[in-house]
Amino acid sequence: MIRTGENTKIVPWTVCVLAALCAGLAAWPVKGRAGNAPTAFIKVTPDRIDFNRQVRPILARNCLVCHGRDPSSRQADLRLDNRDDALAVIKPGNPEDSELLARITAMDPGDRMPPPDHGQLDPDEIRILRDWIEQGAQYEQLWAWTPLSSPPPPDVDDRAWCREPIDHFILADLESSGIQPAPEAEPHVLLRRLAFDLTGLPPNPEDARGFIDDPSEEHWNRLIEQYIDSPHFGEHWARHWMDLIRYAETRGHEFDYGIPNAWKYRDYLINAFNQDVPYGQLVMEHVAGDLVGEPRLNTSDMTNESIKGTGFWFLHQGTHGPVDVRQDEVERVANQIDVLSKTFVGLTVSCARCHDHKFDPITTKDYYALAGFLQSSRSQSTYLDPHGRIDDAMRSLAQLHEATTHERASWILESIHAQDIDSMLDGVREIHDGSGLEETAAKLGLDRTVLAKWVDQLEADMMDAPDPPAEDGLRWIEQFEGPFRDRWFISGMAFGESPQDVGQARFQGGRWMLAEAGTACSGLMTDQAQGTMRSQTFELVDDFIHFRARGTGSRLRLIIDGYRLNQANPLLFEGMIQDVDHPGAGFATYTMDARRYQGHRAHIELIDDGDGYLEVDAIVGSPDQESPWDNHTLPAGPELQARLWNMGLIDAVDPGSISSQLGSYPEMSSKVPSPARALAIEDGSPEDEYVFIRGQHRSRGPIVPRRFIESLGAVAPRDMTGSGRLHLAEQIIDDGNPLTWRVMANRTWHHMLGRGIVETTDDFGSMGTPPSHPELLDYMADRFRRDQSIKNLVRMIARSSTYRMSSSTNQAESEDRDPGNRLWHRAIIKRLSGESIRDSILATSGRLDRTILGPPVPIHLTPHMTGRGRPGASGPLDGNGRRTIYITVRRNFLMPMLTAFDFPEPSEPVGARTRSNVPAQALMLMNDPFVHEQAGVWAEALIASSREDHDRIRQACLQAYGRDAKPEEIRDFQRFVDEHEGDRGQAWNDLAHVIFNTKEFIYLK
Amino acid sequence: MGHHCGNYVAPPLSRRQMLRSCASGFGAVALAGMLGEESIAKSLLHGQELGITHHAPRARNVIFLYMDGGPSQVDTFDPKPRLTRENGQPFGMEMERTQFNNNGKTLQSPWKFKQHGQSGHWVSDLFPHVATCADDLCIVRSMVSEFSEHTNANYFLHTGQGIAGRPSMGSWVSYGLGSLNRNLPGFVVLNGGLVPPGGLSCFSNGFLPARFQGSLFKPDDEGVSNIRPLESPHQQRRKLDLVDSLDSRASRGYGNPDELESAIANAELAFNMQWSVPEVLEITRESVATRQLYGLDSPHAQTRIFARQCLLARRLVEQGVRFVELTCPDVGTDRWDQHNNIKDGHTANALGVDQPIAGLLKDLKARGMLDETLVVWAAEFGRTPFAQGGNGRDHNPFGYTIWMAGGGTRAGSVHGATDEYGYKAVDKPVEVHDLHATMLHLLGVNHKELTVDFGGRAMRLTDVKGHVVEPLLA
Repeated sequence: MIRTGENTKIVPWTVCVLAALCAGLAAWPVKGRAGNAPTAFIKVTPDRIDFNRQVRPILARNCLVCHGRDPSSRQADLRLDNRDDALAVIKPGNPEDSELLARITAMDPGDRMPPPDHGQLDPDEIRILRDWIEQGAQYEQLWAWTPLSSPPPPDVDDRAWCREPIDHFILADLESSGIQPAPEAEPHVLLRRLAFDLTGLPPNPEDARGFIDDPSEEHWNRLIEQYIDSPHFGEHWARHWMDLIRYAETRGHEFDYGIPNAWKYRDYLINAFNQDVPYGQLVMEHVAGDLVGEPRLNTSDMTNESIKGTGFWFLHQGTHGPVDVRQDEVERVANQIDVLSKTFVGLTVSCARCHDHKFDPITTKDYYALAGFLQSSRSQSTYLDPHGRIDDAMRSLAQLHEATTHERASWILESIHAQDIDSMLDGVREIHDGSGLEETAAKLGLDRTVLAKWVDQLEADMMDAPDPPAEDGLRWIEQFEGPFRDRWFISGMAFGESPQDVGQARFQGGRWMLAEAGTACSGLMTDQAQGTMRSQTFELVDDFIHFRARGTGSRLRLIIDGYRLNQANPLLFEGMIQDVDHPGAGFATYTMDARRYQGHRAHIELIDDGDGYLEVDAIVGSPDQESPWDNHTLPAGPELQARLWNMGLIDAVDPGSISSQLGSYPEMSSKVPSPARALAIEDGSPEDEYVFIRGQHRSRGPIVPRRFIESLGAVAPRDMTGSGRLHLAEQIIDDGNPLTWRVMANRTWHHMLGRGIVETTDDFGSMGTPPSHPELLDYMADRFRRDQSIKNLVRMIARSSTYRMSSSTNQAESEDRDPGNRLWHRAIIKRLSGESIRDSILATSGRLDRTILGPPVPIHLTPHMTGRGRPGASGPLDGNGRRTIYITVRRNFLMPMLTAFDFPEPSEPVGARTRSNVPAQALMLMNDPFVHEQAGVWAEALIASSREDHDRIRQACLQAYGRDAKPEEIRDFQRFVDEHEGDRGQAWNDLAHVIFNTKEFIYLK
Repeated sequence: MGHHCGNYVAPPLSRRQMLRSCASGFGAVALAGMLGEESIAKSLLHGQELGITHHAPRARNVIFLYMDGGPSQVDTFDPKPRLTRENGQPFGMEMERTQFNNNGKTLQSPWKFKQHGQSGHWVSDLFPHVATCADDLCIVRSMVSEFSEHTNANYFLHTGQGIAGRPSMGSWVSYGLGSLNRNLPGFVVLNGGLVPPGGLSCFSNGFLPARFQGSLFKPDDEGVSNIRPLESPHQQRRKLDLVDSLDSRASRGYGNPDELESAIANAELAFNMQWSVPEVLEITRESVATRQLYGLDSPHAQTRIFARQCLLARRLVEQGVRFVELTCPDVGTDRWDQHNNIKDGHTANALGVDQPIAGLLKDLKARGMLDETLVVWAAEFGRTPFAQGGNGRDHNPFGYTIWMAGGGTRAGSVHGATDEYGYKAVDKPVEVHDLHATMLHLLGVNHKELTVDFGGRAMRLTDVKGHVVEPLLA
């Protein structure tokens, strides 16, 4: 196994280091610590091997693949993941009699474990196992699963050093190792650190100057509050989060199709972090924001904010034209589960897709229990109502409608002229069968002109009947009457609460119309309204699906296995989206060919996303492509009357009184505003998922009820409604689930301090690294669970002495005693993210546009950014000066500056970016046109800032480094400018470029 | 497990001092140090060659000729007389679902096949030049993939996973073996004009450090992003001298921490790359004969483009680049993806690559480089033996042909077979994971041991699969 690079997690030498540290802890428990409240963690003592920290990683890495939880890969019927089974090869207290030890130390390669091609244990690892067996070979619960404790801060010698309780935990470990914490960093270093960590931007020169002049505690705390309250706080912390939910605004793959409204989710995050939405609520809104009882409203446009959080589910990649669309769905769900589990609980549940997790208590049943939640949910582009204006308008219309029209429908029907409808229809039939108009009118005593009109209308529109003829093979897929009404999922306002009843009146096209049958109609109140109706999920068993529909500017859609990218490219799904443009009084037949998808799960969507309307009368499955409806059967009774009325063939007794009652309705109905849209989830038919044997969707195992992870205490609830995501969210944020709080507390620490207490921020399982400071983590997680505030976590860390230490490696003794800085004897030098580097260049040059939120700015395209799906036009080189978070994230056209600086590919959750250091980064700063351009912008501003070069230099250092220029800098910079061969402008331009290229500009010391 | 840190001794000098005192190891130590790759840094200090191998390698470098779009196996290297006999008749086997769902009748190949060389390899008229190298080819006629869609299949072929986000095979190779030239990246993609469906993610480092990203070279013009200074060398040097003095001062004040030292070293390396990259891209000093061999004098623009790519591939390999991948030139009728009119489309694509590929094989051989250079000719899938519409062919992952040459492969051999129609692999199917395992094996790497920890798993290029295909080895 090759382990190089910074992705390497715990490698055994760190185990050695730990062991060495343990040795150093000999004198540790003296300072009255023994009397403290018990914690979940057994502290390491020199003679006591810690199972979780020392033994488990060895077993996990070397043994458990073949001797672990997963029965499918188990060898020799031996398990080492629990004590009972392991006792087959372990004699507690007697290492020399233990088969385990004999095998790992065997000289004969045939006996030796692990087998030769799986590597070997090194002497230290063997020693740890031997000591552990000698001490009784006790197993302990995985640390991350242990209940959250609330350890009191330990006592320390140097209490004066500690400003915050968290400092006690750090200092206690340092003191017991005999290490001095690093001195406090210089004020300018501190302020730069604080400004970038909290907002991703450099401190402005005034603040920098001010803090250098007055580096008091009070001033520091005031600055913390300033940055915590800054709108840029949300931008910076949202970006951290976006790495986790693989945020992008396109789907990647062949043509990089867009994800409409993805940025609304980005804005949701920025607002949520700025408003410090309680973390439990943030999680709730992500998982089930569409289902919360009282949604949170956006503070500026009053739209439903909670539902926008659910957009994260659907920011996945997407292939168009998948040949196996079910497989496509399975992959999508796997990605959704991966994002969910790593982001919120730091577990790698997706490992259990094909087999029980090899190391952690996560089973395939857990995986498919979670998959059921997604199987029961759907993607939607939700309808939002800015300032409630649609609601207002619809309410007013409804009042008017209700006040007058309920009676109106029956009144119209009752007051229809006592025309002889039957005679007229006889006439139409006779003419249809070949009689002449004149003679028929004369024979039946009908008005010739009126009869001509009837013939014209009825012939042209072909009278239809709603029922499918009673032939074999025809069946209803969905209906809109009686008990079927409640089966539909309705969103938006156009379709009202449920499908309409026969004879209901609606105002359309300038006159009152009457519903003819139980139809779904989006024009009940006004054509302006928008909305969607979705059917239950059903299995496709009919070759063809026929819709009887009419309307304008609307759509019928069949969604198969949740696949939606046919909206961008219909390949293999031709005809599954059909535009309805049939505004006549009669219905037209729309047919979808479902032969390719027999046996797949699907649902139907009736969509009115514009100013038209959609009315659907029937949806029928059939073995034939021909329309099943007999076009010459007439309805009867009130429905026939309604039809004739709608066609304008019969009049009311007093047409004048009807139009006089219209009043302001026509005008009001034309003034309903359009909704805003956002990417979101919604409930579909509740469905549990099968276990897929070895992850193959074609080999089904048992069905698993929807629930959260069993080892975290979840059981399948009896009273689950709908998809059950609300229940899932509740389980994730349950007080009894320690992971949610530990994971987020750890992430916050990671972003502030440069490394997590658990280094593997997205894996708290046994393959992750154990916490360096478990009690500190629990202390923070427990507080966080109680106050739910990310800003409080940030504040607590920023106020601490730990945060304020210098990062200098000049303390040789400390470096020796704490190699790798595992104990945090000093701060960690951090390189800025690509985003912060670009933002910082803009801020320094003066070009930064500090506007927050809004639609993305198109990405600037270089000649190297080629391939299918390349946007037609390039965005501006400087991104209009906007912060990087507002530049479009196109999966296939990522910003080169970001990818050079370790921007993670938006595919899987990444809580801790790699930090590489490559020549491409230097090339970027040296030669990229953007950097050159901004150097020019800045140079101009510097020249204008003063007539004195020295002042300009001072200004430059203050802006770029947040500090005073050093005398040697003033000297060197002056000389650089003076000796420059170009003109003065070019000289300053070059100097500005030099500063952008210095390490101090892109590193936080 | 042979952990590299067992007896790690901190270098006595700062990395920077070490760099300066160790001219030949210039960038290597920088790169190693900046990644915390003590193993590499240490091996360099001890004067060992870079790289970690599990057994003696047969190949040192890979040139991957990526035939974007999927050339048809039955029109190139896998002759099927039955197609000719049954041309225009209903296809004789059950047809799997296809990308375009427009399956037509059995379609014979428009090209004639002949046997070539002592090996007697069957090659169609599409590849007259490659046919002259028949005895160097190790042909696999039983390749299978898991995906019918370009993007998934591209990601799968490149990364072993059907989705974006995993490291490309070139990234794995340069991660595992390191680079042999500090002034050039370890994984170079020579972009002939067509970026494959799926985009640059096909060449992504995924969860490996950014260093292992495929560096996209355009064979003409500036080659690499930001490689060309926007100012004179003198002007730039002057700037960088000032940068260097500022950085040195800053770093010194902080105890010369690794982070800063390696970043400083990188700036110097980048400065050098500005000259080393254009130099390797400069082919005017190649002999006329060599240039003609590759087809640089071809009347066809696409041939000249791919000729340049192939020649550059040899030059990059000479310079120690581990993994060079070539994408196809745009021949005006789409990549090897002929859903209709396979005759014209394949003719144009073959014309673009045939002579340059033959030139590359001959040139490598003449220079004694073929033994240590693994050349792989492969696509994400093949094509259906039945028509799409009237005269096209749809995607076919169930059985197709790739070939390898040099680098310890068995020259002049054929491995595996498809059925009588050339539709599905029926004898000794080779999966993409097997291809990867075999390539790594030839490079001296056990594919099961080349891992990196990500997301709770020890990730591999071959996932949990892959077998070295022994019969392909010389």
